[in-house]
Amino acid sequence: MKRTKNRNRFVTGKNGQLMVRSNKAFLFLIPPLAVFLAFVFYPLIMVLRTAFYEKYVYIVSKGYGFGLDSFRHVLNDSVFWIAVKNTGILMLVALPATVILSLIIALMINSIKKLQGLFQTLYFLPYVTSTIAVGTAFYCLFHTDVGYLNWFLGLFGIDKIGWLTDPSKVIWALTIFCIWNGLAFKVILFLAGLQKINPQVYKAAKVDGASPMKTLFRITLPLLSPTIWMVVIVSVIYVARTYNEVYVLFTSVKSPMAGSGNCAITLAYYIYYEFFVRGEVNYAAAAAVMFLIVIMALTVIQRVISRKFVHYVG
Amino acid sequence: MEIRLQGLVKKFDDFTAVDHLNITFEDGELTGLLGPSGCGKSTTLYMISGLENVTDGHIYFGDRDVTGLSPNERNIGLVFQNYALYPHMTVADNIAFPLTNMKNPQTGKKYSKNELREKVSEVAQLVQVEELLKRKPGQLSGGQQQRVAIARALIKQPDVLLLDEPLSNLDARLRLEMRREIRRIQRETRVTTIFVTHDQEEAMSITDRIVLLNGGKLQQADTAQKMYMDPCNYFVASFLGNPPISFIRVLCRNGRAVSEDGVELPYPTDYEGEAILGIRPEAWCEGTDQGVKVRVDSVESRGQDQMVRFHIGKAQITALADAVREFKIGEEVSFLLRTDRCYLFDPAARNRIRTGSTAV
Repeated sequence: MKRTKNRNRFVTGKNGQLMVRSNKAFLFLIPPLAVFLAFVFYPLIMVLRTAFYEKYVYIVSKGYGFGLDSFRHVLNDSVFWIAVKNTGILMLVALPATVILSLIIALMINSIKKLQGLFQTLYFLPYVTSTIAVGTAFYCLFHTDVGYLNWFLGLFGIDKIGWLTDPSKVIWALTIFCIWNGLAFKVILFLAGLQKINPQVYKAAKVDGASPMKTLFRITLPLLSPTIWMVVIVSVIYVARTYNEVYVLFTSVKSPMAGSGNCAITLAYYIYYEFFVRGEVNYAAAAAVMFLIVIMALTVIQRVISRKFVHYVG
Repeated sequence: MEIRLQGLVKKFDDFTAVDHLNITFEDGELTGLLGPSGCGKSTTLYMISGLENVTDGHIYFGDRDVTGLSPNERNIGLVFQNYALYPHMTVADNIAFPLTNMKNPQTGKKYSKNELREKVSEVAQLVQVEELLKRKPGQLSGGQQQRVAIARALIKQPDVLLLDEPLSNLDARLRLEMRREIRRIQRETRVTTIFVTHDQEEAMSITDRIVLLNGGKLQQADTAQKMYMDPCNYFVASFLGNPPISFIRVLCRNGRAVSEDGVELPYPTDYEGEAILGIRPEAWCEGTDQGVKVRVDSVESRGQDQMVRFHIGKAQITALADAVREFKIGEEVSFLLRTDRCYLFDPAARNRIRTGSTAV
């Protein structure tokens, strides 16, 4: 009798260690669970519900009807498609550029011996600087008439470019800003990944006669692949949520639009815009639901790919 | 291939890790590079491998001066202490990796897939890992990883095989098994092998010759037997042997040795003056009244024999005695000495004092 009781109290864990089963654990789980339910789960359900209202009056928090009207409206909204296009460009250009650039920077920092700490700090500084402050600096950089970038290009006889005003150029200003803004954190993640690789493996590669290029592609990158993949996954979500960058570069007190005619809008900014600026809560919710579905789909695709290319060393 | 170190020096800032080493490692032999930690043995090994720069001196492989060459130009195989296998590659890819970086000397072209597979299976058979070729290093035991590391080091048929403390990461039983294996593989391939270890037993059991270092300096290079029986200085005598040798300060006069506390020892010598007498534990044998009388402090049984500890004056002495005799603590025993297991050392220079006759 006593033995069966003990058998229930002690459980053997995955790695063979003995664990105690106790109902008290639930007590400790309640606080975070409560926060999760109140601030994540409940809003998620409400967004889902709101997206299917045909009409929603924000002041009295009351929705009417049930159907796909909101989705239909959003899909027919030309601004939504500008947001999709801009977010897509960010994904296809800013994301690979920032990952590759930060990887190169991390490899370079990792290969120097002197002043490594200094460079690590320098490259991490942007991360602890507010996007608003950095954005203001970039605003000065990109300004058509007094910006440094146009002044610099002017030295080579290139005409002034409306980085923040010309609808065909704004996405490139946004892309450059996103690339730079995303670098710091990724450099640090890559450096951490690189420093986890056993230095003796490099010595072995040297003895085995592997060239530096071969060492990079056959040893460093495969061993770094879990980090690379983690950075890619985090970055996809980060880039998809691009909002601060749009807000600080393109909006002003006078105009909450993302550039003239919302030409620099992103999906996250579109959701914000529909909700806070236009007060169309059900449209914002519908856009948010579609956004969620796309992100989930991307994550599933990533998981499938990762099984094939990422070497998890266990 | 014979390896010759000539006046080899390695300095790290002000610290001299390796101090003017002149050593020759004989062709086809397994040499143990032995010494306490920090004696410069691993540094010496890494200088031979080319992973560590030389501050001064030369390294010759046969007649070729390789001092300035990079590791892959020296044609060496190196087994790291923690094996340093490539964790993302299979065992087969790990073993084949060195060959993928070079051309086949017979054809002058890169190795084809078939050639690689043949070579890998050949060397895998030698180290007995044929069944493990498809696995990743993380799925192997320590001993198996060790074998794979040796296979990777051997596949390009190196002139020298270098092993850096290869057994220190293994448990006791595997260590015994792997040291026999290393010996077998070395015998089969006849590759000149240098084996770094801090474990005297390991070095004595499998090597043809031992090179003993201390403080970056060469102490003695000899066979294990010779080094044990005929140590050239105090350090060599103290480092080899388990239980270790006991030392006692003596004054030799008129053919007799007297300890500094005035106890006369059964050790006839024609040396005159102060000295340190090193006595191997097995040198003691119980004798008649002519011996030195001591009181037993402690007894430790080791199964086949027992360790008896006692004092002569202030000096702590350990003797090995037959297992049959029962010693009691506090018992008075009379001991004689086998003089061929006793050595005299200069108290200042700590060199061996060799006298004309030490016979009884």
